[in-house]
Amino acid sequence: MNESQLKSMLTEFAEPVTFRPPQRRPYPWKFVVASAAGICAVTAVFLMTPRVSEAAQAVHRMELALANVSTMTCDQYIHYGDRPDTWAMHTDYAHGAWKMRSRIGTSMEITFLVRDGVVFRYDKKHGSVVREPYQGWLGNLSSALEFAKQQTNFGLTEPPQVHIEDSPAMKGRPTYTLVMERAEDEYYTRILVDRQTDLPILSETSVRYGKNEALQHVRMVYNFSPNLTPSQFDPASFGPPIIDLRTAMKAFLEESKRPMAAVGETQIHRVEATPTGTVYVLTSCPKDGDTRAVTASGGDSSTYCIAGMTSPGGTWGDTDIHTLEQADGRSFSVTTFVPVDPGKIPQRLRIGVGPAQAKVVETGHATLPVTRIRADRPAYTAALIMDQAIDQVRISQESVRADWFRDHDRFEEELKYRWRAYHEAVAFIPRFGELRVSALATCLRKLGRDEEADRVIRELGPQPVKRFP
Amino acid sequence: MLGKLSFTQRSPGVGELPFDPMPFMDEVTRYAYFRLGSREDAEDVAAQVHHAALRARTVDNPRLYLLGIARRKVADNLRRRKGIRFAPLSAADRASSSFSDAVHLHRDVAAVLRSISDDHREVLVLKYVVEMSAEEIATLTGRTPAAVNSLLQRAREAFANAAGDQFQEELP
Repeated sequence: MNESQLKSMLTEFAEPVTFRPPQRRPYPWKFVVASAAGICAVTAVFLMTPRVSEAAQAVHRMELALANVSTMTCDQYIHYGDRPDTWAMHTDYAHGAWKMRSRIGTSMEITFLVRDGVVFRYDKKHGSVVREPYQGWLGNLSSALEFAKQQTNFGLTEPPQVHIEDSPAMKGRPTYTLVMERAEDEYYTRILVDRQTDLPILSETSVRYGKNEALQHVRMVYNFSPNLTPSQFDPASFGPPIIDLRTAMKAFLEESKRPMAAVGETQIHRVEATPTGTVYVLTSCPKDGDTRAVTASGGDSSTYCIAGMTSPGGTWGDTDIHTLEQADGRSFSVTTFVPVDPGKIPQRLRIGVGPAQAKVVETGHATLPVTRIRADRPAYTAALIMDQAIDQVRISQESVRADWFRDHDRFEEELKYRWRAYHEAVAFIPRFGELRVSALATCLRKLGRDEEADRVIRELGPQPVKRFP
Repeated sequence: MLGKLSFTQRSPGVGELPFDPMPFMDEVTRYAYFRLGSREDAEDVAAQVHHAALRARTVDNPRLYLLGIARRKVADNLRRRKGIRFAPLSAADRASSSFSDAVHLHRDVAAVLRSISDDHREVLVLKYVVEMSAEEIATLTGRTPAAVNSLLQRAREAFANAAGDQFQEELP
């Protein structure tokens, strides 16, 4: 055998293996005639392409196919700028019921189960399941079609330009690609569609949240007709007892009718301290007011700093049930204070009240007993959907302490808390650690430790991401 | 859930791509087939490569770029399973080939390819099917051109030995 013979054998062997251009599939007239009204309605709402082009017909076929889906799973991947893909959400859908596992891989992972007009919110980290009426804040979940639209149009209100491109077969199945663009909005989405079923295989959309933000890419990977069982949509399968939000709210508001103190129009309902000395002060004020706890000080001169202010339901929506404004017209808020000296818990605290603004202005105060709690947060936070907001406040505690020492020129102590703040952030979401590195390096430089500062930035700061390939 | 977003910049649209990947997709598919031995897997890899190409910004050598992606995708695929199989091509595939004794040839070559190492298969397909130079293969695989030539020589001998033949160098 010589080289020519070898080449001849290999090229002849390879010749039949070609990139198969997808074949156009005849328009499914039978299906379309039966659903003509549906087509018109969907077309008007969704892509609103002015002329019935081949691309528009393909979109209609995909919409019809999606509207008839009874079970589906979908995975969402996101990456920012040059960063690699992150698996962000997994969705199961079966006969009108939805289960969405969101913020996968972070400390803020939440699973939503929506069925029969009710949403169950499972917080795995905090071991709570809260049930409440579904008021639409996860989007329109009436069908797989509505879900897919929301995952690809991102609130686009005007019709994009749509065209079809050929694409290679996927797992032996012919495909085509629907590309949607709208120059005015600089909108771009690409959907790979199974030519045999007209169902999407995956979609990719690029977005930017703000001018200075990195470009974000969202990729959705669909799987249709998976074997999903009813037990997967049973809220009891989460494990923890289910808290009914309306019942919990009613009990909470009933208790709140007996505040510990009133300072002007502001009522102070609870003052609670965790074993590490963190103090949570629950206050309410009239709906149009903005006052809350702004200072705390111990009788033994211990010093407290504000670590954060949060209100119920701020994470997921401001429906009446979340803000508590429905029942008595008052707005509730929680102020978190951290002692500069952790672990010191006074018997009583002087709580100052004032408007919620950057500059602390105290308009009145009350000295109140402190209730010690065993947990790291008050018991009402699960029912008020505040656990994750409290988490975000909690991870800022060490930074707050560090800032206090910085402002008092005590840089060695500042450094100790800068390091703690860094480790807290890494434990919460690894990438968050990068956000603490700059302040850490600045502190090291103030102590004359320039080489260490450089090393910290080099080794712990934002790392360049290698492009693929 | 993701709310309404404003779009201030988009990914490159098809008309803005730095190159058209389609002319290279046959080579990509064949390369993947030689490495994986399965038409379906090769098409999967080709599909992934095609989609990755749509993200490309600036590319000096489209063929090298696409084969580079394919190489990574093939490696991922190989990690997930053991061995290659060179499944028989369908009747339609065989009918589209241009040689007379396609079935026998395919069976023989498939058996030979199965018996040689993955490195040898890769360098043979790059040289004789994709028709790359030793320098291009070196760039793609991270070897020196001399190492590629050496590997190529061993691959030819391995192929010939497996075919029950003896490889003979052609005189220039």
